[in-house]
Amino acid sequence: MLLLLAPARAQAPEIVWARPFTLAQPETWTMTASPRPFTEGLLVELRVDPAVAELREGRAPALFLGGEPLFRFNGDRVGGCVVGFVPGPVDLAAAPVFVGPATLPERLQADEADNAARGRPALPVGDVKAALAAGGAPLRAADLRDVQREAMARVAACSATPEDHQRAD
Amino acid sequence: MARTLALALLLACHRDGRDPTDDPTTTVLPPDPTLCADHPGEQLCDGLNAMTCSDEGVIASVEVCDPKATVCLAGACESCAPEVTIPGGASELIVEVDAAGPSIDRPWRLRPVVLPQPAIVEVTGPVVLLGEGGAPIADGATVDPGTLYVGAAAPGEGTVRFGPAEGACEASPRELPVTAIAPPPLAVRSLDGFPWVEAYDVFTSRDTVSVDLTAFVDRTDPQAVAYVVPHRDDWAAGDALDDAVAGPVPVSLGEVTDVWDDVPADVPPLQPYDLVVDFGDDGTLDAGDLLDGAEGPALYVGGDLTAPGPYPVTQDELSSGYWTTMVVYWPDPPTVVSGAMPLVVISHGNGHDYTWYDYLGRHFASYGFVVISHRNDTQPGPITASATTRQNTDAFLAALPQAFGGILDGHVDPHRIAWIGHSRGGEGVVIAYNDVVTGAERPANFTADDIVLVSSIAPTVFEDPMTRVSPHEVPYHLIAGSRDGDVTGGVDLDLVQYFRILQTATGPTAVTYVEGADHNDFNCCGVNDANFTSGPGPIIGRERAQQAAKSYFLALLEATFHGQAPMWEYFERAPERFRPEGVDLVLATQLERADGGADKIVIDDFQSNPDAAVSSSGGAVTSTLPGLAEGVMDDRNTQLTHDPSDPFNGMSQAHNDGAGAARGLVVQWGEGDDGLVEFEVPPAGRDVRGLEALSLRAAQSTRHPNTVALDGMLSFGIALVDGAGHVTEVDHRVYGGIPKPYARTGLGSGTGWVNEFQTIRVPIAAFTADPALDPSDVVAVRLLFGSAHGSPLGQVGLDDLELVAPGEMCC
Repeated sequence: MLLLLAPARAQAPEIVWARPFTLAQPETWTMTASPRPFTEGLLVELRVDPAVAELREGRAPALFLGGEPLFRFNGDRVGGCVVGFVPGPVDLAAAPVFVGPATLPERLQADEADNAARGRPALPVGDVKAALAAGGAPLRAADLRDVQREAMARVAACSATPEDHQRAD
Repeated sequence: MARTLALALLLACHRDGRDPTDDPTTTVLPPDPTLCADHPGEQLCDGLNAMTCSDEGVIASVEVCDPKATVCLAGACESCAPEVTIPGGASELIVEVDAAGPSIDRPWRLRPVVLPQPAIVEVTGPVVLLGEGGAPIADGATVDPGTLYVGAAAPGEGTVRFGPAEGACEASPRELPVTAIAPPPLAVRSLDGFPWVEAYDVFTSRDTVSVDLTAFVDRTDPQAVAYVVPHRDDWAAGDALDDAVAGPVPVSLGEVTDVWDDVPADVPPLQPYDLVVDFGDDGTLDAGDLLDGAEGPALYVGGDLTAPGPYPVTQDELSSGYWTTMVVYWPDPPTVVSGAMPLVVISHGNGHDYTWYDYLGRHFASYGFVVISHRNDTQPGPITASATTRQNTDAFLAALPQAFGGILDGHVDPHRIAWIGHSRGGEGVVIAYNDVVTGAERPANFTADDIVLVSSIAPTVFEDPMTRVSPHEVPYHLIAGSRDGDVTGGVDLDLVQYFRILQTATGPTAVTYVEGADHNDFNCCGVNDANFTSGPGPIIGRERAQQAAKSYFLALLEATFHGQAPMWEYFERAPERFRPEGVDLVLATQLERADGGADKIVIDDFQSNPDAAVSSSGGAVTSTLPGLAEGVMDDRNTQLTHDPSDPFNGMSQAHNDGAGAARGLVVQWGEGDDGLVEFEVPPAGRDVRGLEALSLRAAQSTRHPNTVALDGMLSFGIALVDGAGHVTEVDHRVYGGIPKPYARTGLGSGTGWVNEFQTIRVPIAAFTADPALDPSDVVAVRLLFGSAHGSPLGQVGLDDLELVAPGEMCC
């Protein structure tokens, strides 16, 4: 049944792959109460508790990368593979990845997200280096459609759910 | 001895030539006494002498007919006024009103009469008399022998008088009584109880078409047969009935006869037919026959709403940016459809994909719609999703001159748009409409008036339904499944109680609740969320849920955009009795007309006058049952467990929604507790003549001991009470019952999901079939509970008790 909060013993998110990207045309970041334009971001592939991986309709635990909720391209409820992005330059060495408040992102105030991130441990240095290395050179995207194509290639490779493969197709 | 003497004296009078009449110029010769010798025991005429012969062959009695007023016929003095023969042998006429005025061109509204001798004719009341050529006959005119045609221009009683033409006869005219009636529907379906027939338009393969001749008690022709024929717009006298799909079937006069019992299932939707009753059985339509179909089809065969429509479909992707990426479906080529086509916009839910709605896109396009299913920005929430709906509608309309080489340019009607959203997208489309109609948002290429229909599939309700998630006056439809494992409809979370959206809808609304369907059954590829639920109720699966979705959505779109008004019957009639072909599911449906319209007289919507003894229309409410509860339809807690202190347990029509929240009534009765609740009818509704139906919404209370014990459909008696105190009761079960809540567990103990409201609609004709009811003075609606009237026990929620007038549902 639907979970509103991550279970106490939920698997901590791990980063597997990361690739920065730039956009030739600005897009609007809407995962916030204050939408704003952005022209760069970080695309990541995570491994999370399958219970929080799935995209549901109701209030659900949000995955955060630093002070931003992750915009997800998929929801692997079986294997826990999640591919998504956050805007802006991201210092992965400092930005924690965590399961955060179930607040609807469009209601999320910046301080709420920052407060949720404060004090959380950063990702292991080795994991970050490996993920960035796996991601390779920054992606120069015309717009989010290019980012999505890159993301769905990762989804097709990592997800264990048929609906994710439908999305990737 | 005395008798013989009297006869002798009479004969003596005749023999000397004296005339028994006062007129000294009229001579009546005496009867020939030898005639009886050849006709013993018979009655004879000899001139004006009406003779009775004895068995011994002598004259037993003679009556001298008055030569001014009578003639002798078959041994009796009969009026000399013209005789009239009605084919079939009737002595009075019931004619159908021809609102356009009786005409020989519309013989099915005329009754022929045969005049064997000249006559002076007069009519009274609404009767119109036509000559053999169809020319109207003026009052007082002398007509030659032949066939005349009786018609009527308005309902009422009248006569045709046939008086003797110039000549010796001075008898009073013969009077032929005529009753003119509004043409009743002939094509009916039999019911299991009073009033025994119903006259809806649409029939499916589960139905038998019958012909109802109960209004025509004047008919005596034993050679009457009925035909069901394809509809014609141009019926004319003499048309042959040789293309029938059913018949000729001999009919029972004055009764209901089954005519067509193998209505096909696999035909296109809404195939129209007419029904003809051929009196005389000559295989042609002529005067005296009955035709149902002159002013539109007599009936429709519902057909298969899941089958592809008549147009081939093309689909292609259109993308001008990440958030303006969509699949477009259209009839190919667009020119196969006459005129610009309505646009249907589909907005998916969270975690869904815009490519997951091919089953709807292709289906609608095959029936002449252009459809877009767009990528929807739902992760932030429904407000962002609403912006995406508007953005994509705008983008598509702007792109028409160039998209796909401009093939759709000029073929999409920007003023007829439907928004359909799923889940967060379902909430999003309502917010999208709200924000345009309030002026908060001003799209570039359309206005609120261009959005003609909004539909939500299992929508979330994150935002306030009283101020933001409001359909306002746009026609609004909601479809959801009882096995939804995501937006569950349960009472534990405010955001899943989607019926709350209906609270501020002021336009027409419709609901389709599909028992056993889950959230992602309504797209192709989402997770099987029924797996997150529990309970013994059947899980119907994606294919069956989509059959229902395709059927009901098509009915909705056809009714709204293509003027196919009979399609509303899929929402108006209880699905237990009537549902689309191939949809063998348990459903609950609701249909409400727009608020404030002249076609609806609210008796009680429970939104004002919180005292249970006073209705919202200000009338008295009386009850003989204990435990009547009026209040907000909001479960008090987050559990569905039976709570004796909460009569609104299981209700999800409101949730902490403050002023204006949906209110209703709960009635409970146990074994042996027969009782009633009576609502005074407001003055505007007391003359029910011309009204269409009495309507209310009702739902069984989930997990209540009475509901559990009943374990099935619930019904009660619905009665009209007239000013004289006469009560006419109908068991609404003949039209459909109130389903028990779906057998799902969770949210406490017991089995049963949230209360499922069902619209119960009883035609006014059901009540007026009782001639003892005075339909001009209906003072109360009485609901009667208990085994004498329906279910022996139960607890039921009630809402929106109203009288409905004929009229278009919308659009």
